[in-house]
Amino acid sequence: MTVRLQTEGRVSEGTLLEIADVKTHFRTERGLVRAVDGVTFSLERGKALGIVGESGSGKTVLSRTIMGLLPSTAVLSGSVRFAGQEILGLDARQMRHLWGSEMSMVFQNPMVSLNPLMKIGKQIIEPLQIHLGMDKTNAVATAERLLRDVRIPEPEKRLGQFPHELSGGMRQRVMIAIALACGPTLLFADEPTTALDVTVQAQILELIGEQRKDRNMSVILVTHDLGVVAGHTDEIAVMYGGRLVEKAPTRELFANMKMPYTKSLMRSIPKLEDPSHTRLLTIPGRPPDLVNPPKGCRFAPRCAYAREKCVQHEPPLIVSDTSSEHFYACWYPVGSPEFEERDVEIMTNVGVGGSA
Amino acid sequence: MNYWLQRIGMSVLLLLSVSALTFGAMNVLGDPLFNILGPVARTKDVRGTAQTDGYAYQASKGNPTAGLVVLDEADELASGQALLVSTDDELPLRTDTIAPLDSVTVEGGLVSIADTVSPGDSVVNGPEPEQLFKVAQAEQEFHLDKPLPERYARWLADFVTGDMGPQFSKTGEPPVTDLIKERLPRSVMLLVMAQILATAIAIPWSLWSASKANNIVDKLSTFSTFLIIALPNFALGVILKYVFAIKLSWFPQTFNASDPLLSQVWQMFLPALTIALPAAAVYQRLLRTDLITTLQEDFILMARSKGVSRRNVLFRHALRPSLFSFVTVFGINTGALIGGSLIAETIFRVPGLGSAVVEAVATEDFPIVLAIVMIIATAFVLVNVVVDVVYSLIDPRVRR
Amino acid sequence: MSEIELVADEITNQDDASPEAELITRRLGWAFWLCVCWLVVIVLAAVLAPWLPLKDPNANLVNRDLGRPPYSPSSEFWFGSDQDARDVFSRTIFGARVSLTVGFVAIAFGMVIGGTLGILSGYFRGWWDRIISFAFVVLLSFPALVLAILITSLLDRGLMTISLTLGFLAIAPVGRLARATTIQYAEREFVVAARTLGARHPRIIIRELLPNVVIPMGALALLGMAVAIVAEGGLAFLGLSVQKEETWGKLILLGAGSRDLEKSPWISMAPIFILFLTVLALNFAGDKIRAYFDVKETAL
Repeated sequence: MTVRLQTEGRVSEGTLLEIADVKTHFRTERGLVRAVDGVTFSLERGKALGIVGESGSGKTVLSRTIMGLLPSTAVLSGSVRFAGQEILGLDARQMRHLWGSEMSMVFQNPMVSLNPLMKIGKQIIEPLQIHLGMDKTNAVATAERLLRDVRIPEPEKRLGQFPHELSGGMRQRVMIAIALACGPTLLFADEPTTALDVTVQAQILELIGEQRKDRNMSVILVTHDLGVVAGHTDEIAVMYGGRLVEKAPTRELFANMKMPYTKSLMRSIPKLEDPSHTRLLTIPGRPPDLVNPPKGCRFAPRCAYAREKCVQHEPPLIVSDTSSEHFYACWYPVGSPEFEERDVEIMTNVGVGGSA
Repeated sequence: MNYWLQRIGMSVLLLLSVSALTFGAMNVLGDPLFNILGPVARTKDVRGTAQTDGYAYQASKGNPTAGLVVLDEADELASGQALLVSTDDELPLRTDTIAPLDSVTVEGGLVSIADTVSPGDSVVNGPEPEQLFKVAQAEQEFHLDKPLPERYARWLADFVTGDMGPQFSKTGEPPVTDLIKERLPRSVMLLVMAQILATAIAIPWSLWSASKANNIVDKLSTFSTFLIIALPNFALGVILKYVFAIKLSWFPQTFNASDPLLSQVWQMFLPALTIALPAAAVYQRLLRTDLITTLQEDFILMARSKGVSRRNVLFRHALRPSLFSFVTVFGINTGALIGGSLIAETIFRVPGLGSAVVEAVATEDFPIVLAIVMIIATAFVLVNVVVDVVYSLIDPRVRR
Repeated sequence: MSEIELVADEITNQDDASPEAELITRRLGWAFWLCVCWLVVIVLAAVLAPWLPLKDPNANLVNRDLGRPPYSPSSEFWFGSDQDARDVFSRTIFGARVSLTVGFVAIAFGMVIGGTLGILSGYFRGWWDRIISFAFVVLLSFPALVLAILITSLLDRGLMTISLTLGFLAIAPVGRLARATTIQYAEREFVVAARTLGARHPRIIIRELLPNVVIPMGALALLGMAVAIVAEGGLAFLGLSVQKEETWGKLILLGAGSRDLEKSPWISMAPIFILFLTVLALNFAGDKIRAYFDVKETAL
């Protein structure tokens, strides 16, 4: 059985993705929606990056901007270099050769992301035939192997089944199998576990991690849940209101969180060691209006630590004193005297101690 | 299994009620005897006309008369006189043909009318003996003397075994079944052609429209569906005939049943288009909306992210999930198209079921009308079952 | 969820533009008012026809200067004349009287009967509902034109017979819509509240349900009227329309023979044009109103 996977014989190190000042705006009746508003970062081959933010923070739009999967109403600017080649602004015809083969995506909801009227097998075979030019027999064999790779029992039987005959977790595995089919160098996973049972979530993340290592593939894991990215990424980028507000290697970020926003995200994760019925600290207020974003720091209106300066001036993305790879955008980061001062006030007022 | 049983049960119940209703209406409101015997069987109001042979007459309205004059043989009648015939024949006398009933007495074959008849009353001519005989014969032959439910049962039994009864207007010959056998294939061909044409127009059109949703091309095509739908099929037929058959002479103006099949297909093109164009516009609207909805589904984005080309996204991924309401309406619409085909057949003179029903209505030949109504209803039921099957073919989730 | 987030989510999820967006466009637009203007003009012309300075529609206006009829459209005969030198324009206007009457009476009849049956069966449910619903299915399974042929061939073909026959055909679709809407509203809080407060059935039906059912039905009235007008034309082509008066269908049929079409197409094209504009206006206005009130079901 000859099964070809593209990962073999590929460059294994170096920068895969570099994006600079990417802006994605949408023209709507209400005005220009600045869904992504100037984001810069890069990603090494074989690494996993977590993009974290609330819904509406622009994380999904950003991943789709990189992949070029946006409707024609989107107005794009900036630069996206993939393997050294500028890909922002390429039309669908040109991007098509990258889609599935070089970069692919696992979508949030496996219930609606598989074609309900097409057999599983055909859906996996499709990219194999398009990109690798496989004949039917070969493609079927590969599809079967892929299903086995993603731990689906009785793969040969599944090929002939329709999506509705499979469970949610199983479908997400199929989605992963499809995304992996042509051995992409970059995998986007857009909230891959949100629609799944808690027990299944860990398995799926585990699977993506395994496959990343096996195939030396870069992964961008998009989620609203800091807990999800904690154990499965090398780096984390936190987005708020269309902007990158903090970015650091995972370990560094959890050790030295700088943004009050990141900290609030952290606080909103339920913890196992908490006694049951502990009230979760949710972030008050709503994500910012992306048509008329706040003048200063976009998080300022919801930030308990915000001061006059935050409202008036937007903080730049600066390097942290703790690590040269840690960036954040905040005037009064966690640990600064102003932050501590305010923190003491809050804690005494609320009367909740030590949860941070 | 249970589902299909229920489905069949409903269909049979539906067909039975359609046939019972039609049969009842035609027998109660219409006069089958008239259809068999023509004017002979029909009692006519002959007010005001003078006639030379022996009938009962009524004085013309507004012309005062002393009453009725009873004569033995037919003398020339003056206007305003009424006459009654006495007859020695043993034939049954149809008293209902002489009115008003309370003024008529029958004694030993002699009919007389009381003097109380006054001008303006409706007195109707009685039938001739020979005609009465014919009436009796016809009643026996066509079972018209039996009560309505029995006649319905007889008709139903015959119909189920493929005998659609005699043609009334041609006193039985040739049987309706023969007529249907001749006409039905043509109508089916016309309808099939029309549906194929409509689908062939609607699918590419809607794919094209949906892939350019809301840009100027799409808006224009939506507007043109409005125009087409607002053009009644008879008007469309007349326009098509004028433009393509008369002005451009691309197609013949009428249909010739004796031509070879291929040229018959050619001759059927315009009538088929007359039916197909409005249907295509309806289908296009439906498909376009559904396609646009489907194109927003996540699995479409998924397909694109796999690198499937735009064309294949449309054809392989978007089209099939968008076909559900189209398939349903396709079935329901068959009924409407049958209506349209009657008109198209008339305009282009295609001798199909449509023109048969028009002719039958003109001659009030009710077994033909009944047969055609039943065929149409059966076709409707069948098409809907087929729609159900097709439905389960395109959607594995509803496979039973 | 904030509004903007919805917008953003929407944008990222859709390929191009949503069909709902255009449905929900809660404006009637200038095209709608144009249609209304046309309808007002045609209705006024029809109603006032006898008092307007129109030529006698039945007079043979032979004009020796123009040669032998039919005359082509000119300043004297705007839409030309027919074989008998009758003015097509004034015949079309007078035809509107009958065609519009048929359309109006038909849909009014269908609304009253179908609406009543639909509301009653939707409100009381149970056996009556089953019987009425089945009757609707039976009615709908008849191709409408065949049923019209049946009835008009059995009865005399007066203006009222034709109108009521077409109205009869409207009963099932209107009834189904009324039934569906009633069921939808009968479960709503305000109806349930009224019932628990001890309101009587007639009161609930008239005060609570009727106003809600009338809106979607009214929105469909214009569409239904267009259908009835077209159906009358179809009957005319089968020789089964109103016997005495001229209708648009009969006028079109009059000029639809091959020879007439070849020599004098205006005889049928003129009434086709007016009929087309009227049906278009009715359809368009009806569609707009339906979108305006957001009526989902297309029953007619």
